[in-house]
Amino acid sequence: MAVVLCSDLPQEAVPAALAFCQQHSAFLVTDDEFSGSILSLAMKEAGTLSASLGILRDCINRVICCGGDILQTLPRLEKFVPAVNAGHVRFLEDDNPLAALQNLRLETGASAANMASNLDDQQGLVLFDKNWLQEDLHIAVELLHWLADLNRGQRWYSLYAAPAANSLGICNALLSTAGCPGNMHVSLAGIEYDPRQFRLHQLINNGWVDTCLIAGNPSLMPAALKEDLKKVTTILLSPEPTDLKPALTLPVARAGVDCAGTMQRLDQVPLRLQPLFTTSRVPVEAIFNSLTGRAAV
Amino acid sequence: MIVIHGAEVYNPARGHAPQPGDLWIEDGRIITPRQDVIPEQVIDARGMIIAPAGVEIHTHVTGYPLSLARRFTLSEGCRKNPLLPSPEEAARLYLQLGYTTVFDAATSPLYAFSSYSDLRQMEGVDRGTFVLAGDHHLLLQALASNDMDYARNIIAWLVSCSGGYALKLVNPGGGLAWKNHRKAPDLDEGIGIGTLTQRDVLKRCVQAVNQLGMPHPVHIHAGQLGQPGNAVNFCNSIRALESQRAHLCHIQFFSYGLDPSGGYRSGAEEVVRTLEEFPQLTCDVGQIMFGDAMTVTADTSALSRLQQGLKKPWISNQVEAEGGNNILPLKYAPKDPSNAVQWATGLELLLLSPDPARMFLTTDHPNGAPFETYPQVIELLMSREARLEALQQVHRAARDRTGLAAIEREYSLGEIFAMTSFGPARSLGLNDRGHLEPGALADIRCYRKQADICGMFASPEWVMKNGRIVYQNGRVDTQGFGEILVARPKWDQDQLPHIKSDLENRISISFDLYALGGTKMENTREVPCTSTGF
Amino acid sequence: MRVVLETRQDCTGPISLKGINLPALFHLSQGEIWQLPLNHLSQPFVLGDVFKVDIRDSDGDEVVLRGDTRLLHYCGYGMDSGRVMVEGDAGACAGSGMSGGELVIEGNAGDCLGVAMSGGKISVQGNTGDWCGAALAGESKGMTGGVILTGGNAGSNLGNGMRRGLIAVAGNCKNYAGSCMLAGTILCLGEMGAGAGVGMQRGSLVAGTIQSILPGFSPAGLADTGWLRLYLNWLEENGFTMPASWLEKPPYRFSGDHLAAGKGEILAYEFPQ
Ligand SMILES: [Zn+2]
Repeated sequence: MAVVLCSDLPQEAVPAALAFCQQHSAFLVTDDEFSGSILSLAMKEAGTLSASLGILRDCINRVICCGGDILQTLPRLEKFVPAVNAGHVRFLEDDNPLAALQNLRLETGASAANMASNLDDQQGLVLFDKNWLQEDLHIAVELLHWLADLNRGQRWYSLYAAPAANSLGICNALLSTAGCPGNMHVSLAGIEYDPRQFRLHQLINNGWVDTCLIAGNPSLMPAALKEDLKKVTTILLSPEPTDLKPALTLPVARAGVDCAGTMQRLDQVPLRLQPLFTTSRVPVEAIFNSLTGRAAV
Repeated sequence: MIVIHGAEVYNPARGHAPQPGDLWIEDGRIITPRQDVIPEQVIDARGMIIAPAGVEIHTHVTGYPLSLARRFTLSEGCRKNPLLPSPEEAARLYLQLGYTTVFDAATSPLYAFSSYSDLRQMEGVDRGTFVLAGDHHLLLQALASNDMDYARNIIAWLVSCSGGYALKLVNPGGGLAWKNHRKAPDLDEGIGIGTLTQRDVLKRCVQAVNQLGMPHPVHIHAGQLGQPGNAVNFCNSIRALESQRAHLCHIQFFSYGLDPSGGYRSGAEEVVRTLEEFPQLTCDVGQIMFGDAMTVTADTSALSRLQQGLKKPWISNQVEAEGGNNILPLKYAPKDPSNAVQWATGLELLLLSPDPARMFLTTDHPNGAPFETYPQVIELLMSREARLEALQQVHRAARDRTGLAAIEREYSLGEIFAMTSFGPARSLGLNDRGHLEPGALADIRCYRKQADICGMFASPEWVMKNGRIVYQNGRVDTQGFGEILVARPKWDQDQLPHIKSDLENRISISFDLYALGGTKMENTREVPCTSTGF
Repeated sequence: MRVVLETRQDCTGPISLKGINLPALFHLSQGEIWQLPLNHLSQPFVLGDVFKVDIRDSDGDEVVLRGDTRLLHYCGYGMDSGRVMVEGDAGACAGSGMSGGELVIEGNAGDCLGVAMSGGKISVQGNTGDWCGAALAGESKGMTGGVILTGGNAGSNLGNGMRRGLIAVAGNCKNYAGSCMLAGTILCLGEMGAGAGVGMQRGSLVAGTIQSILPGFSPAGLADTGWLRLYLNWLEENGFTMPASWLEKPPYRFSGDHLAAGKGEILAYEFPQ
């Protein structure tokens, strides 16, 4: 079996899902591998500098956007990075991001010596999402290397525009409870992490799983993967209807609407959301807990 | 009622020598031996050593910085990773080592919910966390205007709303300086807010926290961490506290002399001599051990220095209104002269300090080494022979530039228990543990007496929490044990609008969501703020 | 001795051989082989559930995997000696972590062939998937020794993080060949895809043609081919057919990746101007 954690879930779902997977020797994956494994691997390779939104608001006076349309996905960004509003924005829009970034790094290296003594008040922000990076590990690594190069002479932060409400919250919660950001097999014997083999489409097509328990709304799942899902039995624990046709759907509560839950903001600051209404729907973690408890009896 | 029979009992409250006799336990606590009743259970502990369970005063096992750090150990995961175990696993590993109380050393208020989520996972041990505020704008502003009443209120509010147990200062003003492209301030240099200096911050915070009666005094990470020659500054920082009660953490990283070559030499003697002038101070050592380590610190200034030297990738995250979360993987190599001196300096500090109840064993996990190396450090302290042998394996700088080789002292078992149980418990203001007097929690570790010191400390025969055996024969039973220890110093509720308006100018989050956002913590125990020092 | 493991007809699900040291089967009886548990990924089987086991005397020691071999993952995982033969396609992770011996795959191999291998020889008659001879995910060091020969095409990230050893591909390879390579040699007789050598520190990539050269590489004239000739001769002895052009002229040389240590090189007989 595979459990898929979707990026609209609160982080409370994670320990419960992990315990469930451990009991059933299941695979645990997310619907957003870039925010999880790929970006994490890139950070391991090249490190990264980031800052919470309050710092970006107060310090940043120039912005580089990776990809032309990234600002459209962040309508409220101007509030936090006034430099965007002031027009101090440059866009990187090369069709070949890897080559473009390498060229920038070569330029940066040549000019780093001149910039070293000139820190003054210039602080920059590199804004990126997974689109322009083509969800590609090597491009992401090159971007973070470039950021590190920029920081030899000046102060540049990065901000990753995650594609869904809690992409990074799920990733961080997985890192904190399991040590890896998805793509793992969980059993009593331990956890095995393999971001190359344990990807949902491979698990389905290689026959490792015959059932997928999807928790949350898999809105980030590519269409091809949704096709693959037709080959296995799917069970959906979602707060709202989706375009999947699962064998079984259990409606669950949505964090911040009908239950409490913790989501992470763009800068990974945890936000504890309180319910707006009282309904009979239960949170996802309660379902995992009861499944785990029932099987234990 | 349980009786532990026939063991050598070490009760650090009564000195360092073992005492024969039975230990009686009822309702999870030690009681005076009874003549009039027959106990329900007698645990045969002949040939065993009984001591109060360990109390960890400084480690890093929870919170947002740890999820950042785990990016560097992806292929290992966290179940069997000694450097970055999951919080759940960390609690189990501590229990297996005989520790039942564990304090995580750093929580940024902005990320307090991440720490709290992790603390909740640490079933089996009593645990808590310290709240970072050495760069907190509100606090620094209040201190700068010398409005001590407001400063006390801010501290009390910050610790309470973050679910913390104590206040931690990390190189005060250093984070602020880094964000403003300045070098970290020296002790008497302005930190950029009025005329406020680092000395002022240290002195006034220590004073405020002691006035609040918090169970643990200010937990201080001083300036110039890791720099050769920093012992001078550290001794000055100690004097800056003006004989007030405080705790200084991982002091090994602050106890370096300057070798004529520009490198490290030990400054342990000078530091220990200075500490002796101030008996109200406690310290933990932050011993390094050779092998892989992971630097996890709020001290951006120190870490960016180190990173520029090593040129290795680091993860750095700056936090509004306060410091930062910074991660850099490291490897301490025995053949590296600097690392060798650092290693020897830590041991020297431990061996030169006369009172083990004031100088505690830590590795600043995972900064100096994983906590699973404690038994190895204990062996080095208890056996000069082991120490001399180890000295042969490391770079000669450890012999030439430290006094370690000449030290003859060997710790006794009683002293080890004083430094790992009694001392830290007393420094943390937890009078119900760290000793085996009637009324104390029955948090007990039991070892089989043997010649192999390291082996003995690495595998206790059993470990008891609240009178129940939670670890034996490789099995850990954590369910239903352990609480989150919090301190909630009193503060003036009328100041809330004032704090709110000051903070909202500074942060990007609504005040109602800041820190724990008013979430009611579960499974907590409030330790009263009635400390008057000791 | 020759041990033949043939997948049973009713076996349709994937089987992981991780944890089964195939060359060690020579020391076991048929019954013992039968009872070996397949532990990896909580498979509820013993080896006898999914394989028919046949043991024969023969000149050399050899384990043969036969039947629907596409279902078999981690064939030859961690092997240190002997010979393992896959009569058909192999699944993923074949030969990963191997340190000696020979693994022959008569069909195609899946992803992660020979990942983190440190010695021995793998021959694939068909194509190989992605991450052939690469590092384990999250590790920086790829294969540290040994040889991988591919008769067909290779996937992306061929020899990623490779530290020592030789990979030769008779056909083409996809993107990122030799990415983050530390040393070693990768030869691709056909076309090498985009992003070749990104982040490489040392080592040599040799290609018939190369789709594009990254900015981190700079032209460095024509290559000195003394050492290359040795490799080419050896490959010819091992059944590779060298393109005529390779024997006529020296290849162009590019040094890089200057954004990493920059001591590596790409040799290409043709490249886009
Ligand atoms: Zn620390």
